Amino acid sequence: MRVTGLIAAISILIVLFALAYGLVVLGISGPPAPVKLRLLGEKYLYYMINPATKYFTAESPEGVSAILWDYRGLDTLYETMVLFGAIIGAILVYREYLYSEPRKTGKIYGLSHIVRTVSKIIIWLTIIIAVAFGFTGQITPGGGFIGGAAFAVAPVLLVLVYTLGYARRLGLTHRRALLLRASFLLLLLLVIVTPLIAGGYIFQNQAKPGSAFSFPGRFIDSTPLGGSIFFLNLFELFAVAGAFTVAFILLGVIASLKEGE
Amino acid sequence: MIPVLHLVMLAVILGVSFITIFLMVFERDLLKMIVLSAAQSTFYAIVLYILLVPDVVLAYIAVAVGIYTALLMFAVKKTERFEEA
Amino acid sequence: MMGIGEVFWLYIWLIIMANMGLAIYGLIMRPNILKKIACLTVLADTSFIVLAFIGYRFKYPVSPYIMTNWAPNNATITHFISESVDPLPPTLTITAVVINLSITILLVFLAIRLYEVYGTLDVKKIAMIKKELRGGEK
Repeated sequence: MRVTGLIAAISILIVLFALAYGLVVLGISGPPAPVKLRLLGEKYLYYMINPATKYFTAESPEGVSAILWDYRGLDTLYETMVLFGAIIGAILVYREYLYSEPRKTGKIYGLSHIVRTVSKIIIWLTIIIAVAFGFTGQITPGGGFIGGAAFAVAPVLLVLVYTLGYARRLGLTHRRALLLRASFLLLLLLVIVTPLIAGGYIFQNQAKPGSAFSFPGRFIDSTPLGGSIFFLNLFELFAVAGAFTVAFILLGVIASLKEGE
Repeated sequence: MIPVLHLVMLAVILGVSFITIFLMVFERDLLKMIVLSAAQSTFYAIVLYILLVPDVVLAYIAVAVGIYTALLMFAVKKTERFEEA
Repeated sequence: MMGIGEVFWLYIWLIIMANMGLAIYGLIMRPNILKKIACLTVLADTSFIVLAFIGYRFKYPVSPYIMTNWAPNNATITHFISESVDPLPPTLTITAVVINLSITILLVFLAIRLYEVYGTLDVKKIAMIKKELRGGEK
């Protein structure tokens, strides 16, 4: 066993040495200590909110949101599909327990009163911050994926501190979370195909040559809205939040199972 | 010559994260391992902040420090606590 | 020959490589599956650091990729590009963070299921139990 460990350690060291040699001596990631931008990043930064180039602008002062939902929009759509595939896979592992009622044992559910009271405040704050991330994703750091990931803290706390029975009494079931996820995914697809119906291209945001259709680029007080980026961020937020809520309701189902079941 | 204070901070915090990962990989008690993993995630969040990627920091703190810790602690509670040799 | 920026660049690359090596070592050599999952998350996190580091610029007035001027002209855009870091690596990272979370959820559920079936999370013990089961059937 010790020999195997030694061999593994040595082979990992050799691989890392080769990588470091390629990076430092051969320079596969560019020159050391880069000062200049790569050309692709420079182009994205140049076009993202440029009124002079009206066919290339995304009307979003935040670089990441502009690339995520405008320039590389289809990539993000497929990444969303990967995310929901993984969640569906997690559900399939425990699907026979998902419909079972939480068992009524003699012991008191949940953690102590102090933890519950603190968690109540934290859950609401988490939800508010997550929704704020989704709403302001086109002008400040934030966006659909980030808001969804922050939102996922709320169901974890709810299920682990208050238990699944309490969540179900609040009306939070896996069916409703799946419905939330599916309906917001449909809204997302609707935003994506709206330009196609209006005679433009799929995933079109601002006006392009050959198609004058354009989502609103500015809010009424000329705050940048990013066109479709705003709507896509918002719908992605609730879709991701619904998916993680399903996953963590399943966590509560596993927690309510007895040992050896 | 450029001001280097942020680079010094980056180097020091990355070094501390190396020590944390080393302790984490060779730790037998899985609960201690999870706490060390959360500490490592905090250091990585600071590193990402110094590298000027605020979006990633916002997503990373919630996921790595909050949800991973809760998820793995739940798994340890459901399974076994100590790793053997 | 090497400026101070290059020295820091080299040191940071070496630390990142060392972190990756430790994570891969834990992923391969430690027997407990939860330890393996934790090492996998560390490996993924280190790759996020790598991506962020590739997009970083070693110059002093360096700013994030967020334009604060909402009605820019050509001069302000040129000034912004001269300071900003690369926006493409964080874009790749954000979806990776969220997808990594969903994959980890799937792995943890599979690990709990494995514990229910085999009564242990040690891969060597699981291999022994499987070998015994196969021998018993023959």
